[in-house]
Amino acid sequence: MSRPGFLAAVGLVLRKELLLERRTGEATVTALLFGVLVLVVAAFALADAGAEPAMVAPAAFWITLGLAANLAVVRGWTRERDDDALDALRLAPIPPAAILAGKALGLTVALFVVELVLAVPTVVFFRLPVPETAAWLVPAALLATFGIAVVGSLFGAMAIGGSAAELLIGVAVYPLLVPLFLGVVEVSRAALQGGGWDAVAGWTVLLAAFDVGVGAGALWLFRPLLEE
Amino acid sequence: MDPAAHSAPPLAPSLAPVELTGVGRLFGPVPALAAVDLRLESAALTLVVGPNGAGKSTLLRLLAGLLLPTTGLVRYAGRSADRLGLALHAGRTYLAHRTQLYGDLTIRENLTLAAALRRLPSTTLDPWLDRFDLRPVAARAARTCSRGQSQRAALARSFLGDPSLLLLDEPNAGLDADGAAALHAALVAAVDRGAAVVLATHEPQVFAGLAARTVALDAGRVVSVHDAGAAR
Repeated sequence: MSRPGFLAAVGLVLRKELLLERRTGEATVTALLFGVLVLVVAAFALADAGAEPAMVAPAAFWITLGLAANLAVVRGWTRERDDDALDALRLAPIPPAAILAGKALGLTVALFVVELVLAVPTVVFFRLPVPETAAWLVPAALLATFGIAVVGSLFGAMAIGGSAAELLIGVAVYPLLVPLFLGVVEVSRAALQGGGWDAVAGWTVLLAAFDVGVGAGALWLFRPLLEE
Repeated sequence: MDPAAHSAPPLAPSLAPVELTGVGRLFGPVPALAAVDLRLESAALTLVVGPNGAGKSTLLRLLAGLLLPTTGLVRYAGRSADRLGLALHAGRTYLAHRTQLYGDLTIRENLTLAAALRRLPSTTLDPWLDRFDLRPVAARAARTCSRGQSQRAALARSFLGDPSLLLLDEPNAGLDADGAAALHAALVAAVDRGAAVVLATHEPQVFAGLAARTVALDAGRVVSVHDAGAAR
C-alpha cells in the first residue's frame, strides 16, 4: 500500500466533490435559487433610486454571491458530516491540506457556475450595459471565487460539528472577506464602466495576494483544525 | 477469487506491535480513558469488551489517529505517530459505528475512492466485492442500501490493501449470517498474513474462537486482560 502525492490527492478529493455536486446539485441549486431571489428583489428595490447600474449592480451581485456561498459551504460540509464520511478522508494516507484544497477547488467550480448563471438576471434586471472591457472581470471573479471558497471551506470545517454552522461560518468568514469583496466590486465597476487593465490591475493584484496569503494560511491551519 | 490469496503477502508497512503507555483521554473534565497500558501484537486479534461508556470506541478512535491522547504515548512498531506520518495512515484502517460512506456515491464509487486514496489498483476491489457479496448493490447509491449492505461495504473498505493494523468497532453490526461468515473468514485471513486486529464488541462470544487476547475496559480503565493462548 502506498500513498498519492499532494496534487494527486487534491485531484481525487476534487473529483469526488464534482461528482457529488453533479449528482445532487445541492450546493449550486441552493445557492442559485437564493441568489436569483436576492438579485430580483435588489434590482426592483434599486430600480427607481436613480443610481447608475454599473455602480450598484456589482455590489448587489457580490453581496448576493457572498450570502449564497455560505449556503453552498454548509451543504458541502454537511455531506462530509453525514455518516462521518470526512473520517474516511482523514484516515487516508493523504496530507490533510489536500482535503481542504480539493474541497475548496470543488466549491470554486460550483460557485463560478452559480456566478455565470446569476450574471444573466443581473444584466437583465439591472439593465446593465456590458462593454468589451467586462472581460477584465473574469480573472478577478475567479480570484475572488477561489478566495471565498478557501475561507469558506476552512471555516466550514470548523463549524461542521456544530448546531449553528451557518451562523458560525457567517460570523467568522465575512469579516475576513471584506478586502476581497471591496476588491472585486471595484474591479467589476471599473470593467463595466469601460475601464481597461490599468483601471483594474491594482485591485486584481490585491485579490491575487489575498488568495496566496489566505490560501497558505488555510492549508497550514487545516491539520490542527481537524485534530480532536 | 480468494481475497486472502490475492492479497498476500502484506503490502502495508508493519505497525505492530502497538504499545500504549499511560494513555488517557479527557473530554472536558470527563475521563474517557485513563492510564491505559497495552501491547497489541501482530498476527493476533485482540478483543476489546466492556459496557457502554467503558471507553472502547475512544480507544479505537485514538489508535486510528482521529483522537489525540491527553496523556501517555502510543507507539507503532517502536515509532511515534508523528515520526511515522502518513505511512501510519497507509498501514491502518478503522471501521467505526457509522459507515463513513458518501450516501450519494455508489458502493463501487465509495470503494474506488478509498482504493485510489491508497493508490491501490481498482482491480483490488473485485475480490472484496465478491467476498462481501456486494456486486448486486455495487451500482446503487450507498444511501439506498440497507444497514447490513452498507456495513459490508464499510468492511470491504477496511480490508482493502491488506492493512497491518485493523481497527474494527462492532464490525458485525447489522450483518446477516452470510455477512458474519464473510467477516469471520476475512479476519482469519488478516491474522494469518500478520495483521494486528483490534475489535471492539458487545458480543465477545461471536469472536471468541479468533481472539488471542481479550481486554476488558470499564470506566476508561483496563480491568482485565485474558490471553487465550494459541486457541483459535
